[in-house]
Amino acid sequence: MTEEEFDNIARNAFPEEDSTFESKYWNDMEKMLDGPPPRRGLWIRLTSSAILICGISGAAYWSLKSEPEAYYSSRIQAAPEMVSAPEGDKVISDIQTQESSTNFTDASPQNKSMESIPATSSSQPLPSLETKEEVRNQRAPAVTTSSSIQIDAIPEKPERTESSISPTAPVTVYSNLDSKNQTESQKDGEVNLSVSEPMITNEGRNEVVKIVPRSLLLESSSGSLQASAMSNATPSEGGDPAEPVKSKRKPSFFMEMDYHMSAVNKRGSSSFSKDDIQTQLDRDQLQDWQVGLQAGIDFGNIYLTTGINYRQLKQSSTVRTSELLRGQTLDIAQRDQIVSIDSTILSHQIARVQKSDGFAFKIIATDYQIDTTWQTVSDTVVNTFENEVKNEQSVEYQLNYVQLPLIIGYEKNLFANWLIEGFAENELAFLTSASGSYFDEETQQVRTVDLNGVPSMIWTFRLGAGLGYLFSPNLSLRLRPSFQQIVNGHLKSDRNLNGFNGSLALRLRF
Amino acid sequence: MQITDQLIDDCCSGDRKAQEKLYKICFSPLINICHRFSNSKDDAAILLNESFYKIITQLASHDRNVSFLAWAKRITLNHCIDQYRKKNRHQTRVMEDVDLEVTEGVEDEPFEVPEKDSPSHAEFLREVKEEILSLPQPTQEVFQLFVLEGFSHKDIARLLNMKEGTSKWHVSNARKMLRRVFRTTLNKMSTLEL
Repeated sequence: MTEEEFDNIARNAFPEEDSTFESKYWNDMEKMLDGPPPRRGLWIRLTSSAILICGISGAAYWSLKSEPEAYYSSRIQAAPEMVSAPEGDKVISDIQTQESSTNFTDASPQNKSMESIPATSSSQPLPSLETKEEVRNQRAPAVTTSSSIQIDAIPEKPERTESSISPTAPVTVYSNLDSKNQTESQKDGEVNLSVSEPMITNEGRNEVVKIVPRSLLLESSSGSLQASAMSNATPSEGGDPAEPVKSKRKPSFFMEMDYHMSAVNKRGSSSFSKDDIQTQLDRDQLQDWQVGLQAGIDFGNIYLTTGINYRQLKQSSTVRTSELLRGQTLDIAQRDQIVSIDSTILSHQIARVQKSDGFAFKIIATDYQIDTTWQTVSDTVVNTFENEVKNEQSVEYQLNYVQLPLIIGYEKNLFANWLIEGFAENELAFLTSASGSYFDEETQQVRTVDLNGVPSMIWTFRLGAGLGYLFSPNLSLRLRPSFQQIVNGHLKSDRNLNGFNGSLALRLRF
Repeated sequence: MQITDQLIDDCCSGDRKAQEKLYKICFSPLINICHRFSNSKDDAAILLNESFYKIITQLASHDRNVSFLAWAKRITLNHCIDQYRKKNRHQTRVMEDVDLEVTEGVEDEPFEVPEKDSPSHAEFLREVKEEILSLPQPTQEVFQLFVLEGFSHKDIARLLNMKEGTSKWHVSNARKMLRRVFRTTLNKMSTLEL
């Protein structure tokens, strides 16, 4: 049977039907078009949820952040008299009025608030800036500090502070402010406050500048100054002198944008054989990448992150089939041969022969009926042949997911600008669309990826470590190699999507 | 009546008159596809309306380089295949299992199609129809477009975004699968007649 005859059978199986237009069908169609739109897809709902989460996180952050600012601003308005200082004490009320016109150029919120905080005389937080030059300009400086700067601010994350001070030239301060490292020496009329580690350079003036955290309070008592510690988070009116600074950490929020990529080693060749069809499957690497936006909260060294990711799995393969078509041709030679001959006597021809005494009868001929049976004999020669039919096909599938990650991690600072971290990540990825084709190894057929053939959810567990670089205390870039374990497969015929991978994340802390 | 870009733009913008015009133009070619998957014209019209709804809602994604009617036929065909599969999922699985057992070793046996106008011919064509509709989705899509709609492999490749070789492979694969099933069907029928 030829292909055309075969196709005709298929066509005949679907005879022409009545296809005339009737207005009632359009009426039904109109009702459908006027009806409510179908429910929005999962993707939309997940995106909305993520935006809602981000909104709530942001609102929570701003509500927490606004409290200390309100506190300081109310103090500025309520206690302008605090600027006055006892005689003999050198107190500078406002940094902006300094002769050295020191400007704090750090844009961090902590240092912004620092500019407007008043100095106080006694048992008040004293945000003062004193330089040797300023002290000399005063007539009777009871306090002869050797070029000290007191910065009335402790960053919320006290491990690292970056500020730039520029009296005439920029001063950059990289300090590791830790209350335990603070030392103080006090003599009558002289205070030397120092912090053990700050690295301060005043490039323009070659001055040695020391930095004292805001929590150290200068108290004036009989011409002497004392340093007292005060909690940063809950500033109080009085403080116990020489009490070590206890920094109470407040959770901080951050946003993180990350790009994650892994090339799972699925590359390889497989051969299959079914009937007379040999199939060679050459697979490329499975590309698994995701990009997302996350919001997180930071409890000191431990952080918790969640958000929304778009994840894509993609793999291309080449399917080569080689089918061995076996056929036979018959060479048939036909000939006729007599199988049998049946003869029957029909009659005798008798002649009367004259004899001397009369006559006699003599058979002179006989008529026969001869039935000959013929048979056609075929001599058949069978010729067997084999044809190899090759075919090559490229298939590629793509699966798209919306993913909800939950990450818990621990980070620790290394040196000045580096940090290391370890994290565990749990991800739930929900299938949104699937397209393309793949080779089903079970049935050895090329199949179209449909939503029914792919698990609607992938659960991924990931363990990893990271190395981060801090561009500033609030902005860091993190490189995170990790190992992922997928609990269920991405295609029903192709499981195990486990392997090493890596991600790059940019974190912005508020 | 022709489908113009202006008509498609009007449909995109929600012009109901334009949509009706497009519906009328597409009705005949699309309902022929739907007829293959249904037993009555009303059922076919339901399939057509569902498909046309998809066409209208996805009209903005239509690539103007591809013929609109070909694109609409593809959407309709896919929708019909999906609906057919949903309806006949269980039955199809059972049939496939049975067929695999029966078709063992019968590939090389010759077969003859029953003569036209005979009762067995109608029965045979009914079986053929069922088997074509039970083909795997991509193979069936290509086979229907090629054999029943008369598309060329080149058109199919452009429409389905695949290579021409892939389209040929699907058609060849469909013929091969159907050939097996035809033999099995005919064997069953001859057994029943005896």
